[in-house]
Amino acid sequence: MNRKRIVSFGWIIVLSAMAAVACNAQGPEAESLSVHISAVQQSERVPVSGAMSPAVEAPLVPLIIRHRRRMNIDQLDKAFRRVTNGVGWDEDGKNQLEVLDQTLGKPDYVDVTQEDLSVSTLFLKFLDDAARWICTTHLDAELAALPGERVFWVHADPSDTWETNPEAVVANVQMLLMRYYGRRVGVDAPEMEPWRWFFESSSHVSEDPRDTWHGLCVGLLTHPNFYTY
Amino acid sequence: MMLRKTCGLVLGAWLVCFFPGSTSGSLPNADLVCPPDILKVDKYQVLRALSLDLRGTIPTLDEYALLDELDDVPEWLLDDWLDGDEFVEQTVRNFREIFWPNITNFPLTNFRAAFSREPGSLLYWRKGVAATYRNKVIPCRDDKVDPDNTEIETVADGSGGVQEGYRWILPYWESNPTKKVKVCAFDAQEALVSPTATPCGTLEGQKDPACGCGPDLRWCRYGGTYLAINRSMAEAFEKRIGAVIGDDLPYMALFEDNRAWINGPISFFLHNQVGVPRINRFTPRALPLEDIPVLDFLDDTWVEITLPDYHAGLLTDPMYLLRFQTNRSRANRFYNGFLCEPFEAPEKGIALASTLHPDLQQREGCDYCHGRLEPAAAFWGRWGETGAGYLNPVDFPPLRADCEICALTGQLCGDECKRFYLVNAVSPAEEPYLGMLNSYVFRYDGHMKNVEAGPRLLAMKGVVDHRLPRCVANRAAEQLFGRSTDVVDKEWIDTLAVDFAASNYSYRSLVKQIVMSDAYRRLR
Repeated sequence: MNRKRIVSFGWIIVLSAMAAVACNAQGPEAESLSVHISAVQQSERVPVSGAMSPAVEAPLVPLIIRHRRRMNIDQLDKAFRRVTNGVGWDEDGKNQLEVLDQTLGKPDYVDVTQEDLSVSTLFLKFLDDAARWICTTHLDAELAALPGERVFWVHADPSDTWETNPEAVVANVQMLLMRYYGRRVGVDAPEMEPWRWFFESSSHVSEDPRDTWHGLCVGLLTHPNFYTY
Repeated sequence: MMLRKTCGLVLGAWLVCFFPGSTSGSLPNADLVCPPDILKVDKYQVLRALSLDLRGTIPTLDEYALLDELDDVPEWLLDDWLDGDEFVEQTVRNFREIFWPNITNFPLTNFRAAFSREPGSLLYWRKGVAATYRNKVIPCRDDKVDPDNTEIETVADGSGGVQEGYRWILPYWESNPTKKVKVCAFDAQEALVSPTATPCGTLEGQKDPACGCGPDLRWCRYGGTYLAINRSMAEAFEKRIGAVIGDDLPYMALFEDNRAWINGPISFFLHNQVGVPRINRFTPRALPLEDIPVLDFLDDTWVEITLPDYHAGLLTDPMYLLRFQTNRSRANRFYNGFLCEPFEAPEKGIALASTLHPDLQQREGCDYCHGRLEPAAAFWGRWGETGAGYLNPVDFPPLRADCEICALTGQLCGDECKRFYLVNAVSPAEEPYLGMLNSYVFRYDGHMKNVEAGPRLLAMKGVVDHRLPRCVANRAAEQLFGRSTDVVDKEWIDTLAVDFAASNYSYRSLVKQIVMSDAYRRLR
């Protein structure tokens, strides 16, 4: 029993060491600001004597960075319409993002003066509602449109699946990833795998390829790659 | 079993490493936790961020395709976007964080001038003055009066009240000439002056039974008619911001440019309803009535006008003055928004005052903020509080004889003295200021000029000592970087501020410099 504990404890040490090595093995861009700052402080301690100073590595300065953030409601509304060629969440003839704007964090500057850009549960719930409504409306319009006028099915047909026409589906997904996320994704890139998996899984749920495309549309709109930047 | 736990522990450590969003600052082993990744984004992602920040939407496929053969977003495209109306729109939107441009939560006209209608009734009448006409708060009878009869005939209601009939009136808020409304005859009176010489379009007139709401009911409001006025004021305010940014004028023009815009609701209000104020007063007028174009209430065209020199751009715009109703709040907002110096108590708190000195600049504890706030508020000393009136130096000198007499004897106490001058000292320390304009009370010699110079000088001082450009650069960086700046950014912000000044305070250049930086391309 004791021996087992000793062996297990040994495992903890070994695996923890591995984890620590993994942490330290992050890329150079992941170095903490404290490392940079201490390096700067160290460089400032170099004596100024007129003699040649020891060499100090140049790039060790604090990195100024931008933070990824959520689109505000106005940006989201425009982005919906940009990717769908004009379809917004206009349920019951009203733009629901305007109806719900204060609920979704837009300040009225009377009671609330700061914009809430958090990805809250409430935001995700309404985003999901919006995506489902928009995708239904958008894809119905696409089906009614001539192939040359479509913006969703540009390289593939609504009846295409990953099994029946993989090249067309991949090309179309590539186009959509660019349109929705601004990401150029190669045919064999790892980022393509989740979408391939989605297509294949979806075919087990519904035999209608249009359901898969609808799911893809909703997935694209509700993914953080869409609503953050 | 133990092995499973061990694996879980290690897996947890790996997860912390590979999911940089997880926070660990409060953990005892925080120093062992991997720092978050910083991603150098590619040109397409830069384009997307630029498009969202500068235009408020994502790029088109064609715009992405432009980058296929390029290493980075071309500068000409950036310039194109910065020149566009969408950039102006985004900038105006960003300014809302500073100005909070919403004044829809209060009507500007008096409750006496407010029409109401009972459920199921088509009669328009004013409850606030009903007793003046009918001895009781009751509406008129639903009987049409003879249009040729200039006298208003009443019938006793049997319980002490009297009631007249109604007239058909086309109100100013109705565009369809066939949609006249039933208005109780007393309320529908059109006389400009009553037989007792009371001007009817005034608060006094609203108490005179021979006065009504005037031709087309112009002195009164109904339902949300006031919203059109208040919203127009906020829109006019933002048009002024848009004009400065759109023309790429120096940032200081926000506090100097006296171009303003007026539409139907604003014009109608200034011409007809200023005389029946609720709380906020537009008198003494900050703009001569003859300089205000006459527009119909329903006219949604915008007419550009030039305000007199004593105005100070946005800082004396009616929207600003109404949104921030006291001179202290006006100064406070400016310090927050343009100098990045909020009036806040120190972390260790403020000691309680042992004596309550009436001058907040001297009261122990209060002096921590008010030592700066009081002289700053004095810059708005010639702009009426709880309103948007202007106290011109001729009619409102620092010391006014009649107000001094009022203060010393209780005689000649007119409305202006009571509103704008110190006529009642509540402590001996105030006595030397009796009869003086309120904004001069407790002013030190060096701060007297603030009152006369107006808020434009406050803005200029911020430019001269470089606090304003630094704050503008800081705010712009925070908006574009989606985070608060800290000590790491200080040197960069200083550089931005200097370059901003060197560009003649071109806000567009400042934004361009920020979004072209390497820092904008590093994302966490």
